[in-house]
Amino acid sequence: MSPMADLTVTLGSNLTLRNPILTASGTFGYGDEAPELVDVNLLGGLITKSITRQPREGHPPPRIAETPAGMLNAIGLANIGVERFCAEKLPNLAGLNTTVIVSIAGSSFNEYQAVMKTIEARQPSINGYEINVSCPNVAEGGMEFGIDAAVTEGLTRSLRQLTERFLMVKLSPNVTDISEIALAAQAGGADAVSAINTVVGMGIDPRTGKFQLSNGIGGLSGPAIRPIALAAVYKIARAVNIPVIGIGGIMTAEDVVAFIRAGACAVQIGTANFRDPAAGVRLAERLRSFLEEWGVGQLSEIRGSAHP
Amino acid sequence: MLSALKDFALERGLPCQLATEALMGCGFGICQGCSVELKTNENHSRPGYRDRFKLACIDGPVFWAHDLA
Repeated sequence: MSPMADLTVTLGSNLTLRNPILTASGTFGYGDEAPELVDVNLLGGLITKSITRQPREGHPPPRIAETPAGMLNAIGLANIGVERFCAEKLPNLAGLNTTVIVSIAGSSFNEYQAVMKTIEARQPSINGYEINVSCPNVAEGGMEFGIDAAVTEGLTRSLRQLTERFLMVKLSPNVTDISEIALAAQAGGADAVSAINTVVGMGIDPRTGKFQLSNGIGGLSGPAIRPIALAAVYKIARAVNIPVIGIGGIMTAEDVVAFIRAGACAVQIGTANFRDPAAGVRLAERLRSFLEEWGVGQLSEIRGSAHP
Repeated sequence: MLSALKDFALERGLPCQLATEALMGCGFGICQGCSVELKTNENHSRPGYRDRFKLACIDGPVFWAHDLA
């Protein structure tokens, strides 16, 4: 019998996770939707649905479509807006015994800053922020920031000045060289980068000729994009010296191990939550069993092992 | 079919509730995928969250015909 594996992960100087499994933004609400289905306090942490300055009603239906081994979505950043978020969601989030990271989206530097300032003014006991510069589905979703290295660096730097908390930038795969954007986030003062957001995709009904999503284009997620995500994480991990958080179609503990071997410090679970809201908790348990079977005491022993 | 039934009931002033269908990602209000469009409320100057677009999974799936867009 191997000794108990240690799943804790330290991300930079200011954040330690109980285990490397986080829930991805937009796939776990605000952490209070399904208390009877999953104990969020067993997760490494949760990342909220992206918050914008004003409430957003989102796109008309249909917003999601099935694809082979994945799904397309164009929700349109539907969210309650930062004021209601602070009033209605922050108190519960602050009371959780897990890491809470708030995702922020915007259409201008000013909007990102305003959202962060509003939250910081409450002095909540949250652990950090994820900056969404990679939503492909709305013009205001930040992707025009996240595809430009100089803009990513400038935005990151401007937000770095507003908070001492953990600051992570979520990167888009819809770029020529994702490591260039990751380096820009690092230069701007990010504590970590997360990758990847969804891959731009489209579905058309062959009979009616209509788009499967009202928005036309959407974001592809699920196991279909896992190899894309794994390659992105591998590439980013070679380029930066801040932690990389892997995201993209992770469904099993084996997938988690693959991302860690590619250089990820932690991972986010997204589409899998829709099939099983307790997927993250289940994966953390399985991951521990795996490591113990293999005689691995700590994740750092295998992190980046795929790199020459 | 639901649309035709809605028109039929509304033309005749019949009370009518419809069980809407929408592809659901999660089924408990997290993915925001199963939106159902209601009639626009003129009183709302700014679009609110889950105001015009309700979620079939937690706000429905049954809605009054006269509320549906």
